[in-house]
Amino acid sequence: MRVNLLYKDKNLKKIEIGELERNLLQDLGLDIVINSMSNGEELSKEIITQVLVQPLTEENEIVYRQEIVQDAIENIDLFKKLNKLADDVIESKKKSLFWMMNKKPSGVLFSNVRMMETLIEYLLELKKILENPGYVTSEGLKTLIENTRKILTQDYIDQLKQLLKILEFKEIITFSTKIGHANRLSEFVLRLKEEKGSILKIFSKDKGYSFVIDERDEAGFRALSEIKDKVLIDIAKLVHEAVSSILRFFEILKEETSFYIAVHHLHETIKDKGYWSCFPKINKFFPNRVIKDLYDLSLMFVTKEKIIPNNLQEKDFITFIVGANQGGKTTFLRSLGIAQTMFQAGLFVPAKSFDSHINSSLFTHFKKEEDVNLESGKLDDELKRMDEIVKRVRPQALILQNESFASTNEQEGSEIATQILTAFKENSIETFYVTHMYTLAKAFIDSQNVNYLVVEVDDNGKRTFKVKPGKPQSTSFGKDLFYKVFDGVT
Amino acid sequence: MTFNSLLTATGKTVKENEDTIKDLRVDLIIDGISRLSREPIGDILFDRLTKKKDILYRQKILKDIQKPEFLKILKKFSQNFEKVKNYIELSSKSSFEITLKGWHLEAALNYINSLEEFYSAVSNLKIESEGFNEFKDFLKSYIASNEFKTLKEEAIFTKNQLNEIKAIVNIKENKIYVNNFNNEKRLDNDIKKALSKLVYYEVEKLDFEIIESHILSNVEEKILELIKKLNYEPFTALSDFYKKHRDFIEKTVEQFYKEIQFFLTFLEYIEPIKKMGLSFCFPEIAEGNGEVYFKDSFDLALAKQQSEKGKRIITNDLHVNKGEKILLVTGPNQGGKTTFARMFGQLFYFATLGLMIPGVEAKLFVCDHIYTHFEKEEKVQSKKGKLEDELARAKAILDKATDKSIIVLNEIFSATALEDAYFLAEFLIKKIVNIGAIAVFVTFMHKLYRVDNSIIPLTSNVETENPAIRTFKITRRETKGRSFAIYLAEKYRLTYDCLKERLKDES
Repeated sequence: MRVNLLYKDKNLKKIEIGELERNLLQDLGLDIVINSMSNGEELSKEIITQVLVQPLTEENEIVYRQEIVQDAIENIDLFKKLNKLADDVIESKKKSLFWMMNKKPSGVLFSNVRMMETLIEYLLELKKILENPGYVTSEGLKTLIENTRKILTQDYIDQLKQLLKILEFKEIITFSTKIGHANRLSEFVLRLKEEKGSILKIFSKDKGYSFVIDERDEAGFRALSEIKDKVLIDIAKLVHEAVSSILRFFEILKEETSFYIAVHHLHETIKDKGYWSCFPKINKFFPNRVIKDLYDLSLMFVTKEKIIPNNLQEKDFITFIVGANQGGKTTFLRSLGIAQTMFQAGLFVPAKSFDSHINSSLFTHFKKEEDVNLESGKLDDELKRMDEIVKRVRPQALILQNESFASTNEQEGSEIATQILTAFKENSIETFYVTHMYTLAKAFIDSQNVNYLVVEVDDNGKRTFKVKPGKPQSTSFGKDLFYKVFDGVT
Repeated sequence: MTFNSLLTATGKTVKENEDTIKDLRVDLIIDGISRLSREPIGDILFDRLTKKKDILYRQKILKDIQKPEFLKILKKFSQNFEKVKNYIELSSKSSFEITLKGWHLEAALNYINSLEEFYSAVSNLKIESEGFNEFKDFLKSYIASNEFKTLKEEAIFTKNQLNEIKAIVNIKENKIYVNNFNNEKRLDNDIKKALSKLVYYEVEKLDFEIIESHILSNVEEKILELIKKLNYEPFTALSDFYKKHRDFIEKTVEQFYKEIQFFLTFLEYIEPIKKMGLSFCFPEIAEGNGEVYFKDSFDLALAKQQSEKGKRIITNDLHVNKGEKILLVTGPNQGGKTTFARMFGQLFYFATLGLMIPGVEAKLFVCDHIYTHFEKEEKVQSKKGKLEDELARAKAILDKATDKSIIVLNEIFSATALEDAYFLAEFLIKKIVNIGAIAVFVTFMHKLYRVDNSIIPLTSNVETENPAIRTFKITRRETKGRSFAIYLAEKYRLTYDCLKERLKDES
């Protein structure tokens, strides 16, 4: 019996949130989104974070999760009920003070048998909830319902209860043993406890022997319990494993339902604020994106002004985003990053339509504003971060760069960036690069598979916050002038 | 053909004085090797061989051991035999009779098994060295002997008898009942089957820490006593076996076990260094002083120390032609001069132990002695007193040295007035040239190379490109300049060329 509401066949791995992941969350403003989704709950926050930094890369994985997200939007009650039940189990575990206090096999066995008796009641409750689940269409939920019904039959529950009764050893224990290495007692096997009378019968019938430990022989009693412990090791491990596994089930149930409750909450928030979302379509070509009315979701939480949405059509390995400052270059980069991350988390995305390929992974390399180190230290830091990305990058990854390598002069910065981008392009790595370095943008002007987006400035020189296909413009007037005067010479 | 020893054919050895051992850091190396050894082998490491024949005898042994297949066999044998000795010790320490005889029987079983396993593994293996072949022949006849056969039959018979015992124990409060097993139904399988339906998650498995003392509790002893009462025959066999085979270990086998420790421990000691990418080789050994060379060699003590930190040290090459005598090492401080001098002495030391030495190839000779003269720092003395001491030590060396000696002089006369120092050093060098010994002379006096044409001038260089590495080559090098930004990009392997390689590897 497994939860499997995030993946069809596995649990969410808890990876270490390293520098790359922290950068991704911060650079894209995803931490703002996560905060709102989780409603301040730490567990939700952790789970959402983990889900977002581990993008799905298979179409069937994405579809599997999208279906459950849809169920959550339609039938949040079921998720809430399951979440509450899981929470109750975890609370009751915390309350059972004596569970696992004892480190010896006999003690562990005793407390686990008690715990198991409690858990059986909760399993029955789970069964009850899932017998009347309401609106369910996803494969994930259907499987959970089906498995619960199959495993938790009345016969099985009865059998479990009976076994637990046998395991409540009090003072009598019977086991077989052999003569092992260096003549120690070994190969202890627990044997069925006989009725009180019959034991004596067995042992008086033939030439059995017995001895008694004196009431005052403390060492003797200690030795006796040590032997009991050795006999019970395997059984104690077994029962403990079963108990832990059921507890794990409920822990995971809590985590995974928390995620969907948070997703439902986000969906409501977007609606309340008057924005839109859609379920993405998966494009099988790479690179290939057609997006309509994409907006920066993180901005939605911090601004009262209406956010200007953008469209994107892209079939290129490198996309430069250039043009006037404060024109919405970074906002656009972020909106794409957030949408792609949500898409590959199996969620809806902040756009009216979203048709995109799957990236193998997603990285950000943003200029760090707060960095007030010496110039050389800054470049060193930028290179170090890029080195970390390169260590993990695979073909078809997406790297979002924002003013990378602007910490050195334009000549050197462009030189470094050109070399890196060329290598990325040749290895089918996709890059979006916001830059004001004309030297860099110009370096690719004749290359294939390179796309340029320019922030729009209207006739009055006012920024419209729209990005449109275009060509990079030099900001150096001297050259402009030269080309103007000598037009036709070249 | 009888088996004598793996260590020597003639038994001729020589020891170096304490200064040499310390100055060359040979003491650290010997200490490190000794600590890894199962048996005391320190003595062997202080006895340098003086005959080429002996050196080659050991080299051949070590070459055999170097074959991975044979090494595995020897290691296994060594482990097994250590266990035998361990069990015998446990037996002798037991006060409870059933346990005492139990450990003794286990020791015998392991002994039998280790020898048979070893013999069957080596019987079809091609072995080159005389020493090993002699032992193999010995083992063949020993295993076939009646003595061994009886030991084996009786040990196995006794163990089988004990194995067949099965008892049932019932504990009820403070009463313990013991009887022979009578097919009582087992409980664990049903529980396992039922519970397995609930185990769907990998959970942390409990691991109970049962500290198993070798001393039995009175309860276990009593239970065993009762089982013994119920099973007369097996326990009688056990007692008989103990009486008849108290000391079953053959002396030659034990000697062999002790001697292979010398080689195995040495290999174990150098293994982590090899993992760092450094090499060891069997040096070619000449009888007399002539051509000497080594390639990619290093200071063993330093390499060991650095390998523990996961670091690898820089190696050095040198070719000393016939007629060249004095290796004059000058150059900046912290440049690896002393390390180079130590390495030179160590190479001769370990080559004449018949062992492998640091390097990919080397040619050395059988030296009669290795003399060292290092600056003594510990004693605070007047300048005059210090010079006097230095001169006295120098004289002692010159008096004894021959054309087969190695002399390592480190920073001699460094506290003396420059003019005096040059004068004394010149004298010293001429004297050594006269004697015909080979010497390493580490000094700040770089002009000394003019003294004699048998001097090879060598210079240390501080590593500039990667200051993280703190051991350095005795060679000249150049540095090239380039733009800072691209230099940095190269440092992180982020230039186009670097990335092309990296992304290819990683995709």
